[in-house]
Amino acid sequence: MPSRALFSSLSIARQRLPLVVCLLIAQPVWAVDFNASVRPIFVKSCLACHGGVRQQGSLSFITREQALATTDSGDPSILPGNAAESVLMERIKEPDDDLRMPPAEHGPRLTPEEVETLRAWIDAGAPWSDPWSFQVPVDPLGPATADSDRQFIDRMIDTQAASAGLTPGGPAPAEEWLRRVSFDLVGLPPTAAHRASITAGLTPPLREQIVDELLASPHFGERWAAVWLDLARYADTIGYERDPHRDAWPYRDAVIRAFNRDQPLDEFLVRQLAGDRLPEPTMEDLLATTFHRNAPTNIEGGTDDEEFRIIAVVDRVDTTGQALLGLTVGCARCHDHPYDPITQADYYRLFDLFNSTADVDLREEWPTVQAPLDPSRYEEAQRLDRERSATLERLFQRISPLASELQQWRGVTFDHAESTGETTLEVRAVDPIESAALALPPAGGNEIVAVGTLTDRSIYAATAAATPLTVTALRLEALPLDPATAAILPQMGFVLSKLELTIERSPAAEGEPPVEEQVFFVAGFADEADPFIAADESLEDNPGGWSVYTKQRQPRWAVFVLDRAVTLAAGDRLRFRFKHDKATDGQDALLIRRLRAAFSSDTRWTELIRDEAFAADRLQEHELRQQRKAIASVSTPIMAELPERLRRPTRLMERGNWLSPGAPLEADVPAALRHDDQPVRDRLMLARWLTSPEQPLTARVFVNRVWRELMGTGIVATVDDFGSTGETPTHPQVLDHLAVRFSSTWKWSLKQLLRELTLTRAYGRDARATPATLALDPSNRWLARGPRTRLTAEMVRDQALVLSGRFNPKAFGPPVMPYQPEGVWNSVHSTARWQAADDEARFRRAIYVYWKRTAGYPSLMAFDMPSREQCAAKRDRTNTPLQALVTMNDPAYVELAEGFATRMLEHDASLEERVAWGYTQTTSTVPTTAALRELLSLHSAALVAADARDPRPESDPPERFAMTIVASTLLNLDAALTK
Amino acid sequence: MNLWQHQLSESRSLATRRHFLKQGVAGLGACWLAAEGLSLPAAASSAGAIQVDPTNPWAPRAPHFSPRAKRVIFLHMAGAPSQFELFDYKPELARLDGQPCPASLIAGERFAFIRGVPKLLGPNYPFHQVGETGRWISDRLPHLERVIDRLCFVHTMQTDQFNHAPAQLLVHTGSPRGGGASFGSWTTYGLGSENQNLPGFIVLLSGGKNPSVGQAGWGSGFLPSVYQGVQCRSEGDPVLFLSNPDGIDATLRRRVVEAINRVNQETHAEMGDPETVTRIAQYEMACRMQLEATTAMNLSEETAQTLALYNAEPGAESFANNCLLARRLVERGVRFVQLFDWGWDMHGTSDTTDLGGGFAKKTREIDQPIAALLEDLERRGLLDETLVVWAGEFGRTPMAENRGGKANPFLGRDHHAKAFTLWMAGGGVKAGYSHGETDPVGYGPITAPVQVRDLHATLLRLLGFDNERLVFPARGLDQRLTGVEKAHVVEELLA
Repeated sequence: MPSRALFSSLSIARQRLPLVVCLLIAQPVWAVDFNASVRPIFVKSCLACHGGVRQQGSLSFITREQALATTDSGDPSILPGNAAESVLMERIKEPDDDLRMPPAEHGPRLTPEEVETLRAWIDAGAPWSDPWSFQVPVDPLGPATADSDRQFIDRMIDTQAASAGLTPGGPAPAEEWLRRVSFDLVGLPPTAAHRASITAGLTPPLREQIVDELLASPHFGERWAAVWLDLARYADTIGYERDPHRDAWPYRDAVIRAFNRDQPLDEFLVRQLAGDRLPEPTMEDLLATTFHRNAPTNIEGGTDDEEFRIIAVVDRVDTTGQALLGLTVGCARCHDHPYDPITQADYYRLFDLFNSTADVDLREEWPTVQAPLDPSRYEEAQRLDRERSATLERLFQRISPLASELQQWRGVTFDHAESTGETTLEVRAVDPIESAALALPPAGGNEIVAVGTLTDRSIYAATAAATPLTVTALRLEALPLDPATAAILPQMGFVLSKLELTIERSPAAEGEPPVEEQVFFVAGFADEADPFIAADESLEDNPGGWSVYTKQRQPRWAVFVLDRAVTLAAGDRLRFRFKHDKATDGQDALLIRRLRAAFSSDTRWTELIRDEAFAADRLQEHELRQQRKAIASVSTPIMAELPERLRRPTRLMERGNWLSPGAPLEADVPAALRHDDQPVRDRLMLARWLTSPEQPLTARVFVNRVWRELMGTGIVATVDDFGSTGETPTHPQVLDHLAVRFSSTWKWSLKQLLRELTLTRAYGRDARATPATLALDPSNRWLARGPRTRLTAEMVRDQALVLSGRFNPKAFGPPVMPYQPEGVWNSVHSTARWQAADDEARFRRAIYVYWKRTAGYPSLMAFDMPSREQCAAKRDRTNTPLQALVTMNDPAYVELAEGFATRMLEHDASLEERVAWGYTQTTSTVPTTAALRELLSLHSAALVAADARDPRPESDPPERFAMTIVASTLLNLDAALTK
Repeated sequence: MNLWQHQLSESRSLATRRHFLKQGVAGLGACWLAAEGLSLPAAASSAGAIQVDPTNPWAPRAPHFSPRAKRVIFLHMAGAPSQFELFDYKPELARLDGQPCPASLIAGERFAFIRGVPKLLGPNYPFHQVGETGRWISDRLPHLERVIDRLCFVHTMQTDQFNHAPAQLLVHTGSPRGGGASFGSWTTYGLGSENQNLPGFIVLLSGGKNPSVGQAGWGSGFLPSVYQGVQCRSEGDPVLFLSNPDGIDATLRRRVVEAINRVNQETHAEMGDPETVTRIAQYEMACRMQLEATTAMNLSEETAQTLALYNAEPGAESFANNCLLARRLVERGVRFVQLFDWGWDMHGTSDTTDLGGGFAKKTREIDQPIAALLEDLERRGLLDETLVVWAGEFGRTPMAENRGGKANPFLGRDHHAKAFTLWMAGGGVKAGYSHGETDPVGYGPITAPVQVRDLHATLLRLLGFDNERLVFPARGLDQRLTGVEKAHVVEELLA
């Protein structure tokens, strides 16, 4: 029989939950429930020194294995079944205050009840279990019940409310429910048609009909995309110092469309994380992957692209953890997680999943997809892109094997090399052992090495004596200075903007000048099918060319093919010119550090160039590119995986420092969350794992977030932390029921989930509170009354738009700029200007307003819109005086109040009726007599003030002025700003 | 009593008369922070977590210990001024001017723009000893010399970031990545503010551009957003949307707010939601803020003598004006005033970033106002409890910048994380003291290096906080300004 002590220790650990709830959460009363009563003691009192970060005395209470292991004292701390002889009990009962655990300076000592709980638990065999959230949810609603989902949810809520001493309230007035459900589902106030439909009362079928209509509204996606975009840290700029524009809006539109068509959330998540890894991805699949390209890019001068690439990967790992798993995995970046079973190695296994995408903090934001402005051309554009990729791949498949026949290449022996600028070149012999190890052509030659100070845009000139040979192709190798180091910490790459080779024919007779002969290259091919910049461009007069842009980890090659074979004779001299003409914001010059050259005499190169199929593919690639350019598009960053050969090996970073690489690690999810032996090796597997039925967190975390949007607080209040430091669920059965239903029966349908929730009695309850109910449940965690919360930033704006009569329902497209005061945008090294729209665009919904990360739109910021510099897993809901200044004084709101006043004036009725009509439009309720009297009195005062204006503006007669004052007042009412 | 003051006193008395409001706040626990905010997540050691009254998160609170400073003015020279041209006297560097930098000094180091082997660059200005403490200072700050004995220098500041945005993030939020809470936010979270009619944390910008860090430099991060800094401006409304629309005067505005609040009382009577009571307080406060912020930001109230002291000019956007505004704001009980002055990034790539021309201009702009601020604070008896901090986000190299491997067209220095100088004055710091010494060429500390987290721990101590116990549970951790690594209070800096 459990003692009362067990329950009281529980309530101490979770003080915020009334005792009754703990009773409900507690598992069968005959066992000591580890998670409910023992784990909280460890978290509160032990893990700071015996946990993930510190294992003092080699003791940790993160896993059972660790807790039972032998410690520095030579004995295990816990002997299961034998509390009397367990060191742990000795230490926590130690009479000497200086020796007793936990030490006084680490917080409160254990209570007698807690000591007793630990004793009972050890005596019971020290049973352990995973944290509740790591256990796969089981639907508590068995098959044998007659309850519907809604009945079950309501029954659970009512029972728990009753246990908390609360009597569940009655249904909300029809107008209140309609306002609530309209904002919650489409983010807009109720339509006139819906308001008319409920005048005769709100029957259950009518509720269903309204919910279904709202779910089908094109505005649904705009409302729910806003929730997702906080997690996705979506913005229209790249972040950091200059914070320039980024065309990420096609992603925003793709999210809105996905929510509108109710794309099942599992499919949605697979695309967000790995749309590019699907077979034959569509344009929207690719655009979905912008999710993780929303991480900021840092193009400040003098930034290291690798450092900020790594910061972006960290951002992706942390965002995936917080937003999807509800886990603070970021804690494990520098050391093991202090409280949860996530090791530092686990962190870098997750890191490896994101470590080999092609992006590397470039100002060009590559890789990108050209997203057509007109979505109806997505399919056509994607078909062209796919054909082009296939063509490039075919070409590469013919080039690569031939280039890799290493025996054909004869190394060039340079005899002199020099550079422009400060760059110094040396000619060095090559080490055949190194060449063999790096699989470089073995035969002859030497290399040019750039040393000392390197100047951007250096041009190398090098000479060599020719050996008699017929040349069909030239192969260049670019090596890192130290390949072993570069494999782990990459060095700066290069762009070879122009390659030139001149032959000085030995003069026919002594004394005559040598004859110069320019070698004509017809094509260049790099060692990857579709590099950021084509190697061909090294043959043209532009800064582009064969490149490793911008970080190099391994030796790289390119082959340049001659249009016809050229024969070299003894005595001929070769003059090479390697021009670098591109610099970056990065930390070092984009120059080849070690350069080798080799010739081939193989006639297959010449044949290949002339081969009909090969030439046709070359032509087709060019034509496809031209056709694609004809489709007006913007360049949107997406995820793309590096070719297998170029994958970046992942190493644990000691103390989270990228310059201190530790042990190599391979991709996987944390061991504690693995449900089978199948490792998770890539992003697609990760996405499928996240949405697999055995994965305990994704569905719970998502359902909980939706719950918070509707009910005000999550069932788990810490929506971003389902770990040991997170809050215990208030309604665990409801959470698990919803999670299981959502991911199975409802097939991950957000609309179905919302339909069920908005039709519950709990959601539809009257929001009225009394001092008594407030005393028992100040934050409405038990839902005995209906949810009443402040509108989100977006809803505040959108409601005013609708009331003004100027609402522009246009969806999608580039972001818009409504009025914003001068001077808000003023970034360093940036000339970007806010150009306020003077057309209908200024009346578009908040989700389309331009979002600059370092200077957000002020009126949205004031209402807690996050800066979007990082994943915001939980948006604040505050009330500050600055918000009042926005809705009273922001010229954008003044204009909307004028529009609203016009509508009220157009309403053919008495002044009193007009004001009452406006009040009802705004708040969905009828004003009390006192409220109406107050507004009318304000109207008279405003009329007087209008008359007193000097001069009196013609365009703004007193009636209009006074009604605008009333309209603005209405927009500022508590009843207007809440739902 | 002028009109503004009249309005102000009337609105205050209105507020106190509002029996309903009083009862509402006391009885029901109205909340600024939404209901959820009441139940902050329980972290393992949140014992020291600040107890915020959700009915007024700006209400003044007592720190852990008796504070030495009650408010902060942080003067950030955005772009990072050169210590070698101001405060770190290096005669040896002058002697070695033009010599190639020894390889041992820079082997394995990363720089933003320096390539290969740069040349050492001697100080561009003569130094001399001033004040009773005889400290060395260049000839660029003649006004500051008057108050040099009030200053406490740290010559051995170190950071691990050498790009502006991340380094500014580190100085202001304790983390080089975004998402952290700024020092000003931590301060107002910890202490609240003494004037409820003004934001407790105000930001003033000068230099023509925003600092590289953007609004993240005064963001509240994981702290409730009521603690984020509010930017006040010299042009347009001093606080965005502070002034009434055309045709609405103060009387009509009061009438509007009265109407809003009376109707809200009706709503409250009907719904019983404590947040409605908060909203009533919120609108009252907005109304008072309109008056008080307008007054606070109105430099024309200052005497000609004071304006001249600062070299301030009402209406302009200038560092001088911002210094004077800072005094006006702390005088009114604003807890934290953050100034950013942009334009200190002297790379020597153009005449505006030249250690000769551009730098001389910047030092002229700040010299007189800073001296005036310190003297003015002292004269008004505010300096004792006002902590003034002057700093950049990192230092500059003792080598001349050689961008792209070539000597720059003008004199400039690259970003340098190994050593920089900052100073503090006022509230509880040891006036006349200089902390730490750099090596003969000023490349790095030879004694007493101070990390940014140590600086934060020290500043928090001056404000009365144990940096280990000023925590906020978020993202699974007890978050601290000083981060997870151990931070040390630099006791020597404390008076």
